[in-house]
Amino acid sequence: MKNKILYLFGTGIIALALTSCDLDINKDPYAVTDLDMAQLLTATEYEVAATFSEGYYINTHLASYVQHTTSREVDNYSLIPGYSTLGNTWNQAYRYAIKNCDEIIKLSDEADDAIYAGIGRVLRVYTYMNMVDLWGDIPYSEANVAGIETPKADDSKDIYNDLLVVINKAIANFKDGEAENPFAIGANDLFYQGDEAKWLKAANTLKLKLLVQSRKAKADITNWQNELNALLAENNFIGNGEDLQFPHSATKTPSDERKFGFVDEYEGGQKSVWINPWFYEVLNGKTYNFKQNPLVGIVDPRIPYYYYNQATAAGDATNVTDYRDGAFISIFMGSNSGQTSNSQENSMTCIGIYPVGGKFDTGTGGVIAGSGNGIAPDRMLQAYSVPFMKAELVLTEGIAGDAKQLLEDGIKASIYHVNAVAKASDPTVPAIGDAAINSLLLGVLSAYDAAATNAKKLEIVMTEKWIANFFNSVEAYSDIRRTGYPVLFNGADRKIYTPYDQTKEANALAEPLEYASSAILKYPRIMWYPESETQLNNANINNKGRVVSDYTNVFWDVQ
Amino acid sequence: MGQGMMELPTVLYDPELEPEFTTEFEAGVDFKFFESRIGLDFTYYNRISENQIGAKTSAPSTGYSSFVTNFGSISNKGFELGLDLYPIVTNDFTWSMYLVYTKNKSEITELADGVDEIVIGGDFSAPQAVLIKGQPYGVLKGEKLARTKDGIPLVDPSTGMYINDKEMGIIGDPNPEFKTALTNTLKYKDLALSFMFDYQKGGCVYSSYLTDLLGRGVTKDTENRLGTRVIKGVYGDANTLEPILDADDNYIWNTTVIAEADLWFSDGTYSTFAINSCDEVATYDATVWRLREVTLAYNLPKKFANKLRLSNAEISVVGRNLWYFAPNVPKYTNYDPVVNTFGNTNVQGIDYTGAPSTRRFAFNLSLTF
Repeated sequence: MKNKILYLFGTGIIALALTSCDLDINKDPYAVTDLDMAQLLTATEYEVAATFSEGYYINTHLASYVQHTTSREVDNYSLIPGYSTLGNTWNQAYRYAIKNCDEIIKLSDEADDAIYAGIGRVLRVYTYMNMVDLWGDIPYSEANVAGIETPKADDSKDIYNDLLVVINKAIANFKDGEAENPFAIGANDLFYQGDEAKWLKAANTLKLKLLVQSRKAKADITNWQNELNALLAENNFIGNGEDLQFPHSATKTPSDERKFGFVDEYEGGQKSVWINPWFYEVLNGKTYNFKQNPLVGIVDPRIPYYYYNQATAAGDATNVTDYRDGAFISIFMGSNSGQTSNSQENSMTCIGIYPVGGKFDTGTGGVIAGSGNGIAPDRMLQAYSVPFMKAELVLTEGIAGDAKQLLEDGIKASIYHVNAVAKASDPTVPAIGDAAINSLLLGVLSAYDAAATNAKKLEIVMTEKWIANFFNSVEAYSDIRRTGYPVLFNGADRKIYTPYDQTKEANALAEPLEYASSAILKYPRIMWYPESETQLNNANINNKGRVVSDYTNVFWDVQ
Repeated sequence: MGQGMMELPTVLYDPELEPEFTTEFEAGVDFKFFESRIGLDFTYYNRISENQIGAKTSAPSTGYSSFVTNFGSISNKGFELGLDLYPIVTNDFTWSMYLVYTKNKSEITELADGVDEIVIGGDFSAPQAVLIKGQPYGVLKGEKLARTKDGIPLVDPSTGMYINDKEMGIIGDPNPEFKTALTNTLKYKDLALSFMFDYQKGGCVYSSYLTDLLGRGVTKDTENRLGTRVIKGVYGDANTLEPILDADDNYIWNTTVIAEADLWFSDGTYSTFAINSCDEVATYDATVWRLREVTLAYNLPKKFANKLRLSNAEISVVGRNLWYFAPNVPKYTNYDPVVNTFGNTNVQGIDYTGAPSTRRFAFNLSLTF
């Protein structure tokens, strides 16, 4: 009897339990089914910034193409199609950046959210513009389209024309006061926290960059002159403190938010970023190698923020050096001295606080291990570029303006940015003061006045812009190809000079030591298509007939 | 910055995904002779699996990294043979034998259009387990030695060591050629003793463990380390991968001497037989003999069992994996080639220094109420 009751009771409980379960075995209750637009925006901003993040992916090695840095792995313009960093940026751009941008644009247009749609468009134009500037003809109209497995490449000028249309749409979005804007925006927008006025400035700046970049082929761009005139008349561009830049913090967990370039260089196993001696000579006004240095005799106050000398002027290096000037120890591009592969882990000059949130140089030397915090932004559109772009237009297109004043504005804006970034990374670091700024301007503006032709004046302007863009390689690479300035090392006479002897000890020479360089390749005007694309889409994207150092150019790179 | 992130996935799924289908033809016979003293069981099967669901890598400009869809077909053909023998059957003593033999041959008959190979595993860029049309499932692909057209390896005259080929190739098939096992059971009254031997022929294992043992010189295989060595091969050019010919267009056999240590350990500038070797050289044949199981069981007599109110009671002691011998791995390494880093998955034949197989003992007590 007792057993029977137990049986009934037990069965009853089980029956009840079974009927009250309404979990479907095919539906995972943890699976995300609704798209959170706010989080999608943050992710898209992150992915777009990561594509061209300084010291990361292709920018690890592109910096050596613009001769800001020297790279042992990719020396002498050798980013081959199979090289991982070349493909990484391409993959990242299409699979992560552009795909999510397109989704934001689509959903925002449907929901009539003008801010989100505008942001999506600005990020999309930014990404595609950099991609075209590097690779020329790329998949655009057929990229990220459902059903197309092998997208064909579009002509670079057609893409630029469409990008101009898109950026105008973005500007209209930001000026749209009647949109519903149902999606919340605020802290999730890591660039401007939803400030439409700033986004409008960013969109205008991006449009200015697009027009300036294509000026030599302006006939290929629809309505180029009118667009430029209207834009300059409106004159609503990014100002100091309003840069479009992706912020980084010192947080390490739960996710590492420090600048990628910092983590790789300061905490990686082996340092791989060498400061290019050609850049060093421009910054310090030297002429050992750069005989026609336009800024000869001018020492830039931004030096201790740009790079950090681990060695001291009289101290020993770890091993025999290749190029040395006092405390500055580095390797020269294409050097044949046989000393470039020596380990200089604790004596080489490293990138500093402004590019990656590293260590500020007080001149006392010491290893970088344990210093810095990676708080430095990824630059996308900078306030200092605006006066430089305008100065370029004055000197080449003859628009109205005072190029000398614009040059001064550009330098001041760059120094403002250096101070802001350094202070955010380390508040104890002193700012570049007015005295130093005025002294720099005195030197640069005299050189500018002494320059006889517009071409020579342009050289000063573009060299200063190149200095301001230290470690921001994509923009610098486009500037060099478009204007031909600054003049880069080309190894024509196969000679390199180092002011200190090639020894372990510091040994200043009366006459710089001359040594041989290998033949430097002709300057590459475009990148190879990466293998990740050519292997899977060979019919449309392949490197046949593509000669990067000769006649394959982006459409705006007119000789 | 304290903000959550959400983004679109990079794997695209075919909305018209279909299930996989397997078509099988199987035929078998079952014979028993001499009042079941001899039993023979034979089965032949031919199995074709089509519409496999797999991921095709996508070009980055599509916005995706892979596309999961149906494609490809795999065939598995083979036969299984079982032989049941009772050589001695008396009242008190029985001796029975069971022999089983299996042979399976797999082949990738089709992949998708334009797809030459699909990688299914491998933690590094080489070796990898791949699916290639016309090859068995999961062959290993990796670096190989450069050879002449007749298959003689090329030696670099400046180092005296082998030259690696620039292209990767198939270095081994982890699927065994056949497997066979023999179980003997001896029963005397209430005591039963059974032991099982098995033999696997073929298969391969890429072993980073063996390269470590040999490379560091810790086994007796490299005990003899004084004196010079000359490895067998012909001189070749490291850049063109062509053999260097003498005045009469003949091969020049290697006469460059090297030290014993150079055979097993290098700084990475040339390939050895162990540390910094090319994958082909680090892959060994996985043929292995094994005493897989020995069981000794005692069935308690009914009288005792009934006293304890049990209808049946049995005690047994089992030992597993008691002995093995792999003839084609270095002799003194005592290596068991079935060690597989990827366990019971699609990827077989790769050992990144996994834990060795164990010998196990168990004690069983079975009581029936």
